[in-house]
Amino acid sequence: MARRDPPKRFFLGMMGTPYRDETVTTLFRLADAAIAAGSHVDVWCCGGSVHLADASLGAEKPRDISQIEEPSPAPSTAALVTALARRGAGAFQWNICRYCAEEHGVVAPVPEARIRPSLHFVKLMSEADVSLILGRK
Amino acid sequence: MLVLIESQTGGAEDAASEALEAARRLAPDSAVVLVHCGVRRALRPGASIDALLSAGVRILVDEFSLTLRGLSRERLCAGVEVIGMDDVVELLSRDRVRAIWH
Repeated sequence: MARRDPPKRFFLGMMGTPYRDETVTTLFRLADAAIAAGSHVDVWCCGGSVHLADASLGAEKPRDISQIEEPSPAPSTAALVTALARRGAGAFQWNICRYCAEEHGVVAPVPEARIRPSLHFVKLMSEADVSLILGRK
Repeated sequence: MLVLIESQTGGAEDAASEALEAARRLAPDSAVVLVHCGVRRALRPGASIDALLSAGVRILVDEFSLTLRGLSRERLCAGVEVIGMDDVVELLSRDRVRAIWH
């Protein structure tokens, strides 16, 4: 795939239960690849995915006791949000639906994530060149 | 152009069949990106994938999802393309592309 069009503005919506399958992994892979291509990326979280950027998750995921010998634990999703924001340098924003945040008790996301009014979803999506909603609520 | 990102494998009640049929009808102005368990659709023998390829639909398979499941390229239907996420971004960034996640 050699063809290259100018970088676009991406809107990636993450809906519902985040840990049921690999959708969260794909979300981070897609956002990372879009940033690498020079695009602007807005992620919007609704439903259970509002917890992905919780500061209380810390820097690393809890150790998998089935692989207790593994020397390097994986980063938490909150740490990945922070890393993407640093890599994006102003071209990446992690947005959390306020309605869903209140419903799910999100009070302290990492500083790189912002809790937004739910209708901000429409604004961000209408500004985007590429809109993709991952998962199902 | 329609880009269908299919994350589910086929089953007794294949909810993706309508979406895949839409991709077939829009061929050659359509592509199917198989991710997650959806990559299993591209395994041989894959009559439905062969039909889509014959209709002119591009079938793209996420290499990461293949690796995660221990599936090798040799097991895939002839004509499908193995890609990375940077290729997906490139495809989605083209003009007049509309993407659907299923």
